[in-house]
Amino acid sequence: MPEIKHEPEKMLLTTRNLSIGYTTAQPLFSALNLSLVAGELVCFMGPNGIGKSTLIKTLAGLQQPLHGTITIGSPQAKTEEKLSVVLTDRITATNMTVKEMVAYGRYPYTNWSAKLTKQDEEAMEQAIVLTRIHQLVDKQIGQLSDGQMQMVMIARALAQQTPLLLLDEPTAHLDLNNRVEIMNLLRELAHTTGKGILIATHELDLALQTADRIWLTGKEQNLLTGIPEDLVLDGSFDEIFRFKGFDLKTGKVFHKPWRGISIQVEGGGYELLWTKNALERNGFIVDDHADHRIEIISDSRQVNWLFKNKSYTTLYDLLYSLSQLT
Amino acid sequence: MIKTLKKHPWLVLSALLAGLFILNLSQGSVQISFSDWLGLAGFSSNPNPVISDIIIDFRLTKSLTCILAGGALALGGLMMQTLFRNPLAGPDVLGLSSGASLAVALLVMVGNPIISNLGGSFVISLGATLGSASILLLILAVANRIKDNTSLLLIGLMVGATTASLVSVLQFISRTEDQHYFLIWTFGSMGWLNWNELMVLGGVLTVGIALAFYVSKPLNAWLLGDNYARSLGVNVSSSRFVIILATSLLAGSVTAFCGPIAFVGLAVPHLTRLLIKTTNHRILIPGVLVMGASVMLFCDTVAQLPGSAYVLPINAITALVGAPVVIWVIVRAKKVVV
Repeated sequence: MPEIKHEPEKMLLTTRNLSIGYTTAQPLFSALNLSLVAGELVCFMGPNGIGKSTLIKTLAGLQQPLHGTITIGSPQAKTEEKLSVVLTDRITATNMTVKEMVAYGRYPYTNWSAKLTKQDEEAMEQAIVLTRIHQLVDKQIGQLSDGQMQMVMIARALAQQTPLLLLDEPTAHLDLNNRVEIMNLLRELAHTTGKGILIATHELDLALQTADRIWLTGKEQNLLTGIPEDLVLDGSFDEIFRFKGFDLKTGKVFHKPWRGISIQVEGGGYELLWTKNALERNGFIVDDHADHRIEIISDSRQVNWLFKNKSYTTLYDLLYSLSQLT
Repeated sequence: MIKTLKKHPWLVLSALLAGLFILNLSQGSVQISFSDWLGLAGFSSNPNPVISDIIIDFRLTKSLTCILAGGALALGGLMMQTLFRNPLAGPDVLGLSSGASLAVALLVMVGNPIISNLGGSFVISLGATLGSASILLLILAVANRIKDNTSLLLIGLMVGATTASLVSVLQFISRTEDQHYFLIWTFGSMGWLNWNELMVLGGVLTVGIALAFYVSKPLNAWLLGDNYARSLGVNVSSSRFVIILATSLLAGSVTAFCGPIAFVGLAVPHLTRLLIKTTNHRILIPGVLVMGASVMLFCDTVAQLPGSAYVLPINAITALVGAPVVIWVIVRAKKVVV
């Protein structure tokens, strides 16, 4: 099979033979040869406690590598002008305003008195627009929700105007809506501004749907890299995460068909999807050659389920009826 | 009043400082009449020389000492609270004032003959300076090896506890009159300095304050913790060195000349942050200087027991006046942040 040649891309970060951790005897990762290119969103995935934060900190220059080299951009430029970070460190100064926090992003560029120039103000404004936090700028950060706070921290990193952005668990402790918003924003940023963005996360569902590339922690202190779908299909994810009741290939939680009753469902669209979901969650098997048959009849206003010549207006009632079957 | 305060905090703070300065000058064990004040100001043909000596050599030095010491301790407290991101930190957390105490205790209780030969307060000041300076060197050496601020804070507290217990041992084995002399020193006073000593104190404090301004940007960055500070290009080890050095100069020299003044360094930064809502040290530093000076002037005025010849120990007053204020502030603000 001929090897497919890809276009050469703009490398933002490369590591050669990198070992990280706290003691040479027990490195967390070793012999890493990684690369991150411009305009790409990489999700760095692995179970909790495997050393994701340590790698992020090492790449950011906040911790010394045990061995090997990290190359980021030109060696002459200062690290703080090449990469910005969003960490999990808690901010205790809750009386700081959002604007003051975003202004920290300009620290690498201001003089000793931290006076903001017009250019600094513009960079901050741009970051505020991108993260859509306009209405928050005069608030104190103690008044923000967790999701808003994370946006502010991202705005601070963006104001730093670095080609590379490293984030450690940016969606931890957030609800689904905020998680989706943040991941979408980061992907959009990578694709529109050409930044290279690395996100350490253990949240599979979102990472699989947003990442351009995945770095997956392997079993021998190594990292597997590839696009999400390849890693799903070759079973890498199953091996690393050891799913307990989650079927990655369908993206659903596995339900045991404990009732032993199979049902055929006629219909289409979302209605079919959610009807199947309800049946499987309640221990039925959904099958095309089954003993029982349900028909979904929907128009623009309402949905009805037809079962044994009886019409049901809610799945709740239908399920009650089905549970009487033996 | 509260509204003006929120709108023009600087106006209110300067007015407060000026008012307290005048009030502090006017109070003392000798009643000074209005005509004497006029005479001092040059409006009278025959001014009373005794009165002008009292004003210039005693009250003015004392008031100026209040301003210098109050501002310096408050600034030291602010820097320590920021460095350790801990609202309970004060200028004495690194054990500097205990170092000074130990040196003074040694001088008073062991080396007593030297003091009587060399004549008192200047030797005490010198000893206290050496005491806090040696603790400073110890802390800096430790800070060089230990990168973690919380560990450094704990070590500072341990050093403080060790020196305090050494002082206890010294007290236990020394003569009653020496114990008494040492006790007087621990009470603290704003009135021990003559003009020459005031110049020395002023000079050292100016260096400390200049250093604090110089590291105002790293101080701001420390509020985010050292990982973020480093990610913003702040040289954390050198700025930490400067912060500790500046605090030591400020707190060490005040302790040397005025005794171990408690409470002001811890409380004033909180009061200031309540008035001036910012986390920017370029604004907070002048804020705590003015606020600290005002609080110290106020405490010293109260210590004079207006209308009487008695003077209470300043150290008792700072805590007596300040502790309820801080409690009130905390209860009102519900939450205290650095």
